[in-house]
Amino acid sequence: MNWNFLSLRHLLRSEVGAIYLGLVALSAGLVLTLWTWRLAVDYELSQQLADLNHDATQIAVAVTERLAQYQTVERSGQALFVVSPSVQREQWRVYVKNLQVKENFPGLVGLAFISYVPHQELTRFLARSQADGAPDFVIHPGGRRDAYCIIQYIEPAAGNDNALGFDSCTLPASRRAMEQARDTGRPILTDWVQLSQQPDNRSAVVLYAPVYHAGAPVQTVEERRAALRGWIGARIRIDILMQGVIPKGSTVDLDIFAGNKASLNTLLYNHDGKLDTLNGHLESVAEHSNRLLFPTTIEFGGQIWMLRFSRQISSPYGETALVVISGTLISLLLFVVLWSLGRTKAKAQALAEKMTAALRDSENAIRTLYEVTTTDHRSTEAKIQSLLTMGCQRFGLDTGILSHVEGQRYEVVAVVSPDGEIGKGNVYELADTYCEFTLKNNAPLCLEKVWGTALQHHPGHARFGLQAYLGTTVMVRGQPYGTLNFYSRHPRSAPFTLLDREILQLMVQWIGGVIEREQMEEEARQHQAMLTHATRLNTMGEMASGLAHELNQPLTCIVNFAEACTNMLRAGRAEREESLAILEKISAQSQRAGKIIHRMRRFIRKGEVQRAVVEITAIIDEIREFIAIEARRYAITIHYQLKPDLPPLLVDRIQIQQVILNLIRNAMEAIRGQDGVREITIQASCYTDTLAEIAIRDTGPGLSTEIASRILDPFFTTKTNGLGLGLTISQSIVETHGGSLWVSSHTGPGATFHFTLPIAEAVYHDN
Amino acid sequence: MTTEPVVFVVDDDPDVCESLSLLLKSVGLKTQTFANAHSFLDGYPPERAGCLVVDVRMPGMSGLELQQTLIQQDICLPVIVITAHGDVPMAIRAMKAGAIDFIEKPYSSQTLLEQVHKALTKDAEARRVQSQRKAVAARLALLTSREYEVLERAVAGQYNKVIAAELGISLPTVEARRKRIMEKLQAKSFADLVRILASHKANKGKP
Repeated sequence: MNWNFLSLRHLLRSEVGAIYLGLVALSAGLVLTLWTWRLAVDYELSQQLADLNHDATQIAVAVTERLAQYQTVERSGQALFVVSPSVQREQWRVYVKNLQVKENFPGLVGLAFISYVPHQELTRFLARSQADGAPDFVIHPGGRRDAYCIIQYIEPAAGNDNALGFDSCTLPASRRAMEQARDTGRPILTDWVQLSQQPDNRSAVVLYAPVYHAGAPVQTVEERRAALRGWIGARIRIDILMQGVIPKGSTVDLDIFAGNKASLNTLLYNHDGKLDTLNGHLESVAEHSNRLLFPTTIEFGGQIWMLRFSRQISSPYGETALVVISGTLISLLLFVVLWSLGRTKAKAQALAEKMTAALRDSENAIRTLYEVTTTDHRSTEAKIQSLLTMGCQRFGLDTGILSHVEGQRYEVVAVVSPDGEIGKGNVYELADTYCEFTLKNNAPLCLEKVWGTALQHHPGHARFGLQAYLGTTVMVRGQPYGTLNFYSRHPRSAPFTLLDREILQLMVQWIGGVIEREQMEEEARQHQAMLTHATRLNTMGEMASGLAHELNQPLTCIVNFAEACTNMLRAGRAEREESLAILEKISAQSQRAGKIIHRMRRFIRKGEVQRAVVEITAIIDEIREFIAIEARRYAITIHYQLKPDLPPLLVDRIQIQQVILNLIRNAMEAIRGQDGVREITIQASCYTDTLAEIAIRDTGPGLSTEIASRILDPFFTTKTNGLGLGLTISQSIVETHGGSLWVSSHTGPGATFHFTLPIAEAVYHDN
Repeated sequence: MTTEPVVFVVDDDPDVCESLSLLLKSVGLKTQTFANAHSFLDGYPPERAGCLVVDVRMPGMSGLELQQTLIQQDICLPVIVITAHGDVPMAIRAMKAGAIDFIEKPYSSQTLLEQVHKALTKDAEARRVQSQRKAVAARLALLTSREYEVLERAVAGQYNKVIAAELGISLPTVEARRKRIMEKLQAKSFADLVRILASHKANKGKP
């Protein structure tokens, strides 16, 4: 889930994600628009339905009112027969005429009186009718029946020509309605009837109201049947009826069905009036699918009519198009806004990620640089080699060179090249390399592809085929030392980045610093060696008088002995034994002189540091003579307190002797002018398991705290013509050996200088 | 004066002492060696004629210090300074202090021996002059103060008459005093008298 969440977040952050987000918003907007539009359409439709409902209700009321008027007409007919039981044809005509049926009761196409005539009275009825102004009165259809329901009068005659004499009982619909009216005493309406005289008017119905014999009881069905005289029949053309009911210009269509079910069989009235063809009916019903329907029923004359109002649905789309258009526009706008916002955000994100990546890249590069340059145990050369390798990887170039340039001489100091074609120490002409430009530049020189540029005729390209190059000047002590450069024979596709140049600069700074330090160390080493030698010579010079005295002593003795012997031999007084003894003494003195010269030569020798395993007593024994000479000169007593069984040291004996002599001479200088005890004690002991300690103690005035604190500083001296380097050099010699030099007992009588030296066993053990 | 002069050798190097002693003996000189200055000062008899051969650089008192000490103690023993390593200031100091010579080791034995002989001669001469001076002084001491007044004026070349006038005495008194002076000083002539007095005055102030 988490992964999904992350990937979703990632998706949303990307540019594609922004499009998706926009599309989602667009879809949502469109759905919302659609929904709103549907609501608007529904509202529009419901409005239309409500309108239809309103119109329909008005029409239904009008229809009911009109039907009620017809019923009233019938009731007046009934009343007529009650008032005047023997209504004549003429009377009926006048009556109907006075009703002004056509004007007052549109749709009422005929008002008839139908006589109920049992068969046995038929003849009499016929006679009476023929007598009553209708000589050609016949009953049709013919045939014998038990009873006849004969249309006796019908007015207006026009349009009802065939009706007179028609036996209505022969029509099942009329018969049912008449019987029902008879039995109930109320006007009953027929189903639709096919009126013979009006072949097109399927939409005609007849309303029958019973007429009973005046005065006859009509409380029960039997009484009513017995009292039946006939019926008032109102023939109603529904289409005409409707012409007055539906207001002109109304868009409401009305279909009327008998009963409460809409079907072709029960269709009484069609708004088109196209009742005559089946297709028309089908069409009219099929039309309902895109029409608003409002069915309602009315009950009249024992019949239920279903009035089905309909109206063509006026397209709601025009009204709601604004909703769709504005909704779509808003959605699109939202999409565009979101998309562009997302795009901007994605771009910012991408930029941020790019920058983060660049930062990480630079951090990694610098860390690598740091790791390469700070691995302590490796030599500088190895570090530079690693640096070159790292640079080749970093810059994507084959070869890395650290060069030293002097004039036109370009020497390879360190190199990493794939096939080893460039060797360390190789020398080239500066003009053959791009470095000639690098050295003239303050900034790194970056060449991604030389071919095709002004440089392509340069030897670097023309002869060596170098395409890509990155290099800069290595500065040492503010002077150009050479160059650090990387190159490749393949052009580089991507340009060098700012980071590349900065890393190159860092490398160069580090290398410059390292070279500078090495140069300074080398100079310091040379300086130190010179100083050491100079000091040794100085020490030697200081001791020269002593040495000369020492050498002159035996020489003097030799001269004396030789002359004495000569004199004795000349005088002839020489005894053989005596002469031999003198000659032996001469020989001994000669050897003494030779030894002195030998030691002196060893001491003066300026040699490399040669560490060897040597006993501390041997070191001191060799300089005992020197010490003794000096001590004699200043009447100083030297005490040796060398701990026996001291382990041998690993030291350069000459250097250590120099240190000891230096300290002793200092001690002598400190005490030689004083009147009190003049003694120097040389001690050797174990300091730790790994270090031996040598201490030189004098009985001089000691050192003040101020002097003691500075006595080891270079060029600090209390002597009138001292350099102030003796102790410094002694200290550096001791420290080079891995020991240390310090001074103690500053106050009170005497000062003691100590130094430690490594015990050979410990050194070997360590290694 | 009859005793044989001795060459005293002071050097901290026993080999040097031994060889030098042998050399001097080989030419018939008597020697005595000391390992350091103090032992020499302790063992040296001042009346003994001879000379001193001393090394400059020694533990304790150096050769030059010893030379100074001898001067302070009014011991006029001729000193030859030898050194294995000398420098000009050291030589000047030694010579100013009256050293016979300042010899650097190694030396030719001839040079040393010459200087030793020179030193011994000088010592002998010095001892002789010193004894004469002592004798003159003793004779001068016999003079009365009045006689000494006359002597001074006579030696200065004044006539007796002038002397008498200056001192307010008579001429015969002057002459009588001059006669007694000649007797007391054992002078054979006036010239002899002048020489004795000049020699005495020249040595006056010297120990």
